[in-house]
Amino acid sequence: MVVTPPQTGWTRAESPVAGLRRRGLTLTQVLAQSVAAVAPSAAMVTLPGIVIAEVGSAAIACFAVAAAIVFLVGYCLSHFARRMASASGLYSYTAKGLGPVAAFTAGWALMIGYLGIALASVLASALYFTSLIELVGLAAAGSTVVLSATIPVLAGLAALLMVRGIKLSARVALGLEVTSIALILAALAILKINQAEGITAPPASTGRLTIDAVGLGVVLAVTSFVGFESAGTLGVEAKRPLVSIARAMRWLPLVLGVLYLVAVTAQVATLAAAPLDIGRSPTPVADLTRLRGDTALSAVIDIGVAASFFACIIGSGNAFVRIVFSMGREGIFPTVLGRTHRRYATPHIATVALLTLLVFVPLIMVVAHTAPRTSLVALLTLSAFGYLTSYTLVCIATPTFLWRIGELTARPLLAGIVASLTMGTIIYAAFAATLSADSSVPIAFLLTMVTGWLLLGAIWLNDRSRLRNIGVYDETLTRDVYIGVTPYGNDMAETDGR
Amino acid sequence: MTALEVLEKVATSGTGVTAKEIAHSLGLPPATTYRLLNILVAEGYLVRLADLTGFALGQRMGRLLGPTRPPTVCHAAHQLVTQLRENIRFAICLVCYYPPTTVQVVDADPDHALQADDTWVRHLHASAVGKLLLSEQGDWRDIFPERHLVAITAHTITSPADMDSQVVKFRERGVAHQLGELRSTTACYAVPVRSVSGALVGALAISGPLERQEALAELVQPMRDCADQLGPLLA
Repeated sequence: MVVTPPQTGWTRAESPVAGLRRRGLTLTQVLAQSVAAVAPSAAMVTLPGIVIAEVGSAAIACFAVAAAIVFLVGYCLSHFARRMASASGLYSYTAKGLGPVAAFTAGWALMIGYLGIALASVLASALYFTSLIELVGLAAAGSTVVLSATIPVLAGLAALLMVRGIKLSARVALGLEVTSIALILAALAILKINQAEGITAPPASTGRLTIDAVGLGVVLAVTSFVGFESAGTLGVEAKRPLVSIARAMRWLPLVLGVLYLVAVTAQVATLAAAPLDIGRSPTPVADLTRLRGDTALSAVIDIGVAASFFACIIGSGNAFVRIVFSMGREGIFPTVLGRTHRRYATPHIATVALLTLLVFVPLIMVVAHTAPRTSLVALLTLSAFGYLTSYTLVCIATPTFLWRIGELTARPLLAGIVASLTMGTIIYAAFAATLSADSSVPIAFLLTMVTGWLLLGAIWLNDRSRLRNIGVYDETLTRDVYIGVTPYGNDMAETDGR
Repeated sequence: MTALEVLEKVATSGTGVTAKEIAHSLGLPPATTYRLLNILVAEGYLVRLADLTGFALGQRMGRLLGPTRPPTVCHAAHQLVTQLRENIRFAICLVCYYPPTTVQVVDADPDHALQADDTWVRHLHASAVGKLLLSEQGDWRDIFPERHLVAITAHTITSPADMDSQVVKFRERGVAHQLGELRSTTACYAVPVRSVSGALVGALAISGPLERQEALAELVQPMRDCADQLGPLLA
């Protein structure tokens, strides 16, 4: 069989993403990183409450539908993950399917997603820690000083862990997540039992179950899964990237789906009976326990959620800096951001850049006296738009990528079409819902995207060859190819004839 | 079983074969082929090339085929070979021998693409590097049975007597060659790389079109000089 060689040799001698610690993370650690970026225990006590407030007991169905949709996205992603080990996940995946412009759009949107979640996590973990400090009586309630002091400490600690090595941050994240999920599940169980014993009001039927409300419920439920794809940024660092990352992407939506269904089922009865403003609170479950005067349980929930949010700073932060690092390597961002620490093999410059944002943005929000709930919801909504945009693009990219490499089959084609249409609809619904309520967040998102495109345009005008670098990943290197079998190939005569 | 067939197909088709071509030539359903390929790549038996379309054998195949020592050369040795390549238009590569009969490329010519294929390892009697190894033995039959003298091209040596005389000649001259015996259009010369104690540890080989064999032969002396310097570095 005659094989046409590509124009530019088969392989490179050095990986374009060299510098990260190669092949160290186990499947558990890859999962831990993804779970940390999702922050499921924080989501378990906040999002179900909000969805229940919208649709009542139909929240269970909303979460089930959301799990199915996210599973479909994960299925699409796994087709990339099984074929390429990347340090920037969906960004490089989209590049291989749709080219540089779509890839940049997806990458930029995903960065908004990770950054938004990381910022929200700094703020939220600081809020929960402060609430914990207040609970034990060390500070007066609503103290801005304590909150402002907590923010740089938490952000700095997270950044330190991120720089000290991916393995360490994965381990810490795993420990924190396991603890917090266990705490929250226990707290929910206790709450449920207490509720059953001292039941005073019948579970309120909201009685206003509209298509719009259910749609919004599904959208909100989908946002509780975002971050599951962050395993895709560990392609270089995972031990068996083509196996473990693809698995993480396929399993996580299912595992998270089960967790959320448990949490939402436990809360449907409890919260539906509670005053409506509890469901609207940023910390509904904690408030509920506080309302009942159950200080110990409240503290347990606060610890659990604070730990989960702190792990989420690390999880989303790690994913964020790896995209920045990849863009630094491509020359899309200043190349200094593409440097790695000599000893810890992490993108330390990109992490320092992230740390600056993580400290100052929440501090400004606190100092500006924005209500914590408003800041949190704004950041989370902004990041949700980012995630959903990149999911839509990568789902479109799935069949085109497989077609390009000549490996398209019926199932991924179907999955790609269904998933991208569903994600498109969800973005539209999310946009419509937020626009009608408060247009500032969607506008802020659009402005950020436009800023990104302007940057891309500037690069295009300046040196368009750099756009061709978009989508760097951990390629097969010359030394990975087994050539011990023969040095004198069929193409020898042609090569020498030139 | 099918996985092994896929593996074999990549080995025989050469670097860069695509999933579609493999599915087609094996008559397998595409989805099955792609799944097997992905598993073999994930396990390191195969690699997906940088264009994400082509496949090649992965380093893990080396473990299956024998040597456990990774094919690496020190920087100084690599520098020497690179220097030699600078003014030569032919393909120069450095190989190492692993007892009893394994030959592994440790420094392939970056300007001349190699093709994965197994003719070389199996047919020591047809390659210059193989014949150099045979001529090093007291009796070449110890490591290479007579029945393995099969014809690969019209010029391949198939008679044991011819092999006897060639081996003696190569041993005396300290250089082995093959002239259109492995592929009808290429010629190759190989000079030994010896450790300080004189043991054969590797070979430096130069190959090019058969019609340029005189030009190739003239380059044997510079090759020897380089090989002498390489010896202490490889042992």
